[in-house]
Amino acid sequence: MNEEYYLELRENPVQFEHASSVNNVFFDEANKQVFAVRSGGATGVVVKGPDDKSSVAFRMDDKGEVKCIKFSIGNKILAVQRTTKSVDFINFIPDFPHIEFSHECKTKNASVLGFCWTNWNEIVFVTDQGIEFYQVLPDKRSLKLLKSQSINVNWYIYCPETSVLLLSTTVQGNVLQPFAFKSGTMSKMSKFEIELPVVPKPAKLSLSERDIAVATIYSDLYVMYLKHHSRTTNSPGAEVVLYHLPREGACKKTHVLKLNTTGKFALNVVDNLVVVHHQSSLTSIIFDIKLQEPDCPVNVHQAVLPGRSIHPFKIPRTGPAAAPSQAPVICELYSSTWSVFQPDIIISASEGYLWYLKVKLQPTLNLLQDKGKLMDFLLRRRDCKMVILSVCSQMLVGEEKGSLPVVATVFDKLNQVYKEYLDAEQTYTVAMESGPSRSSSSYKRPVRTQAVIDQSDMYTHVLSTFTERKGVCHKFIIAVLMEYIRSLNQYQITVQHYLYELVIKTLVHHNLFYMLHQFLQYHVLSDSKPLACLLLSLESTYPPAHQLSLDMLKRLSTANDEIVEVLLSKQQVLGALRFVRSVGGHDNVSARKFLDAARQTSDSMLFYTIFRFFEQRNLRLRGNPGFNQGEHCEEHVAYFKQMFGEQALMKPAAV
Amino acid sequence: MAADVDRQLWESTNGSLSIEPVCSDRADSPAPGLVSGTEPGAGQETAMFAHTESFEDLTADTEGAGLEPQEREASLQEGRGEDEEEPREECAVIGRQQQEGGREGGVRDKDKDEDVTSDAWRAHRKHVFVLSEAGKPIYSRYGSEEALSSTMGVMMALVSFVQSGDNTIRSIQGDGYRVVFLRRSPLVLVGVSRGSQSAGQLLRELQYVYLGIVSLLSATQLQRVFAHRQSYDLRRLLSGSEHLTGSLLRLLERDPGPLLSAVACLPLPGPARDRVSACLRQARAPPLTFSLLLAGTRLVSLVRRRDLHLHHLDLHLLANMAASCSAFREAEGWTPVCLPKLNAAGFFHAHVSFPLPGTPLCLLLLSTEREAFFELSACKQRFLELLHKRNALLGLQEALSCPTYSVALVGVPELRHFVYKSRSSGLYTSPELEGPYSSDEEQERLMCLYQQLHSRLHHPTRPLSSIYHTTHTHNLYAKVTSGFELYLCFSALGTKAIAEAAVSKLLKWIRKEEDRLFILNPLTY
Amino acid sequence: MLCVFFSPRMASGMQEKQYTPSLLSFFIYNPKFGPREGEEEKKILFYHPSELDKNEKIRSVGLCEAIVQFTRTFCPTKPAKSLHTQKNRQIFYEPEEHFWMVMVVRNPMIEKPNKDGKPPTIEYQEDEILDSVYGAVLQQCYSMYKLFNGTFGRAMEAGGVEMLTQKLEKFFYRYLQTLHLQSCDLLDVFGGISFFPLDKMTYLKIQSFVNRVEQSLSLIKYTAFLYNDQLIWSGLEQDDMRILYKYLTTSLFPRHTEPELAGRDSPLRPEVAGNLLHYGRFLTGPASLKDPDAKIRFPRIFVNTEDSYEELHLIVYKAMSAAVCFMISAAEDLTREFCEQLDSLVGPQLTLLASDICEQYNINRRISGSVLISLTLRQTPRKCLALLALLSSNKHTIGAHIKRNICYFDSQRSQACALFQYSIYTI
Repeated sequence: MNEEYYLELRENPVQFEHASSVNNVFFDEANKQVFAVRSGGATGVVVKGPDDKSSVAFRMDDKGEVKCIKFSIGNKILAVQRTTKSVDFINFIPDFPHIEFSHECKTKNASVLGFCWTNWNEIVFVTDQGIEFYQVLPDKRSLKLLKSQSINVNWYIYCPETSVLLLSTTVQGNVLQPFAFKSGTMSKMSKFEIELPVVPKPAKLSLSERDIAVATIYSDLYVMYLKHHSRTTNSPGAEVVLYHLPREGACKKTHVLKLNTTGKFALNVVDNLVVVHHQSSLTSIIFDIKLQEPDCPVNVHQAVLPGRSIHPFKIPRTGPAAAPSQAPVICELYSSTWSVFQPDIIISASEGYLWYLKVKLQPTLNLLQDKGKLMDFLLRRRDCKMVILSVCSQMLVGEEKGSLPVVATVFDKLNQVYKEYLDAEQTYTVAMESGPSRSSSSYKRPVRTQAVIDQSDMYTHVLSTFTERKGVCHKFIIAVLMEYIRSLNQYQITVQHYLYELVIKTLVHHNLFYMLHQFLQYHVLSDSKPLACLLLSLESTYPPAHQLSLDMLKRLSTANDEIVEVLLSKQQVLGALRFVRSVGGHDNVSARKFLDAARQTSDSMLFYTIFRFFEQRNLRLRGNPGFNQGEHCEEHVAYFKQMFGEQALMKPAAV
Repeated sequence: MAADVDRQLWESTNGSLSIEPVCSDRADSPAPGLVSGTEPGAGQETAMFAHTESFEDLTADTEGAGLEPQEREASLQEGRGEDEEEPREECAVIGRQQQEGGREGGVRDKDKDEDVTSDAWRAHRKHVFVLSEAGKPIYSRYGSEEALSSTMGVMMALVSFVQSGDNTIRSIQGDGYRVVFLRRSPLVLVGVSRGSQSAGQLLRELQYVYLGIVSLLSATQLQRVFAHRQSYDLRRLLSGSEHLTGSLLRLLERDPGPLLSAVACLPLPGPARDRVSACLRQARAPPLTFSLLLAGTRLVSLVRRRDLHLHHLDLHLLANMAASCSAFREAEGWTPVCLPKLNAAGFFHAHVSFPLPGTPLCLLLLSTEREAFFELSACKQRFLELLHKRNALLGLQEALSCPTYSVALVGVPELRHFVYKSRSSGLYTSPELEGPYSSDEEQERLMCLYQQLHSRLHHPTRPLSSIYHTTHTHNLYAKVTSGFELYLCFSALGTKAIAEAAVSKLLKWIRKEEDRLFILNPLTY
Repeated sequence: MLCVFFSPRMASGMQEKQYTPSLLSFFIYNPKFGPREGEEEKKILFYHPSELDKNEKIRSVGLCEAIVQFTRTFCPTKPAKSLHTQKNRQIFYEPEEHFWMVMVVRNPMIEKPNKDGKPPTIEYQEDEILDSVYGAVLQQCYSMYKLFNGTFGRAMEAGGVEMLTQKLEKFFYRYLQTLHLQSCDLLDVFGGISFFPLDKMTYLKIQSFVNRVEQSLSLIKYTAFLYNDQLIWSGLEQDDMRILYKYLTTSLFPRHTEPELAGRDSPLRPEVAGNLLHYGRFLTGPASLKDPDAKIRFPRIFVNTEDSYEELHLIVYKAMSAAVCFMISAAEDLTREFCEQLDSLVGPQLTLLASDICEQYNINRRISGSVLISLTLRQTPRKCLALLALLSSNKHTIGAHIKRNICYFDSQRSQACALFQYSIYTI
């Protein structure tokens, strides 16, 4: 059961003093900071960031209830909103006086809904009548208006990673006006309308801030709309509608995620997956918008996996009150006090915890039966390598052994990704060589994601162990290896020789020499020196292997020396010499080497032949049949004389 | 008048030789396709041998052959034969002289004692058996005939069984050996050889063995004996002469002559040779039909009766006989001999002597008259005197001291050995077997290779004009034209290109050397 | 050795008659049966022509025994392999101990008519035929028998001499008629398997096809894949494959060429319900799967007779030019359901594969491939030249032993020469 949980709250969450009558808690999505403001700050403000270093603590005078409090990027300036009219600023720049100053929104009788920092010193006020974009001048203790835009605003959402601000306008509030900010500039993007399930009569605000979230998925910005179930539209349940919000161009409705149930939902985005939490059932489901190829303008998706609860989380007792003996309390999941922030943050103000949500891949193996689909899913995840490899090993053994077609599709999917990476590498290096100066800017080195599973990965984690495994039918082993090789070939990936070795070893181990022979015949096992050597070593068990390996060496055409050595080792001195001559190397081979070999055969005719050959070579090269000192052939000359007599030596004055 | 003709001929040839060894009408570097009679080594005159290709006339029936004018004398001599035992006596004499005389005798005994069921006996590279059509053993190269009588019985049974189906048994092929049958009524010859030797080659050798026997008894006598008694034991007639067959077989295994149906000459500068030939001719006596001067199997000179041609095959038999009877070395010999190719029916009478002691020089004087011994003996004396008078002796002795030459002289380093036959003159030349070929088995292996090439070139239905053959030990190249027949042996690293280049170079060289290597001016009485 | 290929140099007269070699007799005997006088007939297990007089049969067997015995005196371990006579050749072969097969071939001959009504003179061409060729043919006879009947010994164990003689009768009666001695040549010596030239990728596709089928129809023990009568994949060991290949290419396929002959392929099979259209059909076994009471019987073959001695069903299934042999242990009995399953599984895939191969082949056609095909059509002299070319292309193997002879020299010549004892002929 334990491996059924595919969602969990990450280790060591951010802890803070939980909200209470005296302690207000605020969360700033931009800096991911939690502000615990005790009695309006008089008794202290504790700011906790994602890591302990970034936590800050200070005091400020209690000037009334704090509505909103945020640091500018880099904790330079603190902005605090206490009234609907103005925002106060406190300078936090090191060795700058710690002075407080305040600024009122310029629009008359507009009330400030909130603000958000777009930079260390740029801030946007959002009022019910529009937005005001300021630059903060801490030294002058004043703000400079950069730009403003008047428009009726019901509420707003700010997406810090893309610094896009989304305003809900019109009476129904379902027309959203996005603005993009970039160092001192503010650009208005094309507005768009969220289609409501029912148009209320008379018109009233009917799109709530809670049902909208903004997040980047697969590096595209999406506006996610949680469309509640309604009796009138006969949809089986609620759904999440994704609007793709491009930097320029119109925003389009592109995806619909079917929830098939009703109730209270919350959204997260983790590892490009849309996570939908369902409170009443205490489960979450995940969607992968890439899992099906986009065929129509709006793609309807079902949950990838069946709904499961988040992995239970235990709160260790800490603090002075905590006695070591007491067991940790199980934290209540999906509690109503939870608030969920994008992309992957869950905060329980009542408990005083901030968690990051995480997707565990291992459980998906058992939850997703279709191996092909599973691969597509895993290949897009961040930490997928080991999981994918375990999928591969799993499908080759045991009762749920996959059929060859399945194995084939899995291999093909892996190798496709692998090939894409290789090509990217290729084009990159080519570009670099062609002229780094010019192209380096345009090409950046392709990142190797975990999804790139190369041959050595397969070899070490899957195939080698698989082939060693007892009780696997060798037919299947070979079939699998051939499938993998087939797949590699299909994607024109050069196969590493250790895979061939694996094939050969398996074949040899089961005495399937004739199969091996055929594979070599069709060059299924492509030629290579290591392979040729392996073949040589097989000669004792399968004599033809010797010739096969020689043929291979010959085809390689870079292995002439090896061929000569092999032949000599087989005492085929003539063959060796004929070969050397055929490749035109006979003028610079060592005479001694051949004479030694000839001598070993104790075949006098052979020795005579070889000796004569080199005498003639000497004559041709040096005009004298004798051997040089350097060639160390004295003993052979002596032997020759002894065998055939002095007069048999070639005369220097040969016509 | 005959004398005048001869003199003129002598002068002219002599003259032409002394001035210009190479006659003007001969191409200097013969094209392979040159016409018969102009190739290097071709005789100035009509060839001294009955011009034939052995593989043809070996298969031709001997009994038919040899109806020369001399037939008359032969038959006459035959008709006179009131005592047909006589030739047997004389063969027996040879034999007996042999038995005390020779190492062959010793060898023979060793061979004979062999246990015919032993592996050693089976391991012999070649067995030869001769039996009568009654299945009676006549000769076995190894092991005693007695021990083999049952085996020979089976052989005969096989032959006649197949015959009964009005068919003829040729050979049995085994794995790495073959058994060849040759029926020459009234004899049956069987050869068993291991290794690569083809059935055809084996057949040729059996032919020689058969003719060897005929040369001792004559076909007529052979017929008569068995006509008399089917179950006659021919060994009685041949006793003591088995070693002739043995040495003949050895000759066949070593000497390319029989294979090429050609004769090798002792290398001798043209003028010197002509001088010797002249002496030989001048020393002639009326009854002479042939005078031959041999050094081992190499011909030094041959003078013949104008109307007679000596067949190379007969010459090989003669040479074998002369060489293998050590008795002749002690004293002049006088023996009847049948020259099957010339006339299988009758006998010649051969005066055999080794005039220069310590040299292999052998003088053979053949006559049809059986009483001519002293006349021919005198003839030999005259010849020796003439040699001295015309101081032809020195050159001759030099030549005898180095009867061969090295292949290196040709100047083709890759060339190991060669055999060149001038077809028109029926003469061949071949360098010494040196270096790695000094060992017997290497020599025999080489001969075997030559035999293979030969049988390919002269294949009865698919003759080839040339063949290049590579073995693990050699590259061989052989080629026949109307003019010559050539076999070259190169190292295992030779190439076809080298071989082709070598051919023309070699032909040039032979042309240059031809008056030394060949007998260009054969003489007649 | 090579010479036999070249047509005679002799100018053949118009009215001469040329007779090709022909089978005179073919018999199998075991000297151990009926050793006693008068029982000789018992030795004879099979004799063709059967109508021959009994004593004649005994005589010819006697001769063979005598010759084998005789040669043992010179080489006890290796008895005679053949007997050459003026009129014929006798080839001896002892495939199993004491079992002798003998083939008597009449030498080719030329009949030269004589003028003035004399009977024509007959000239036997004794050197025209090769022991190696007919020796190989004889061994093929045995291998072929063994492929479909198992060894002599097994038959004896099973049902004694009676069964053996029946099997021999049944098999050789038909097989001998298919022997075409005049068209035998060196290729028979090699018992060559010719491989289909193919690019790596297509080959791998075939591999995975074979593997998939074997996985989903686990009954299948061995598979062989052929295209255009050339081998692409064999799961059988080489020696068994060599003879099976011979059977397929010389006997089975020629009998089933109808649709291909017509130039187009066999008609699509839409009637196969719930199934892709495909060209697949069984060459062995049921003529039609639709006929409910057609018997499901496949030929049995025997392989690995040296060790495991397996008896197998032989299913040959073909789609267009691609043919697959599935071999299944004879212990299994094959149901119609199985055949339908196989048909529906293999048919469509094989059809696709076949067209793939065809496509690929046309893209990278290799000369050696086409040489091979033309071999069957050409005259013998050309044939051997083609053979040289064929052997020199590393893509092809003609039996492992030959393969080893093909040395790694570059020049095609030297490779070819390696085969023919390094001989080059100029004619």
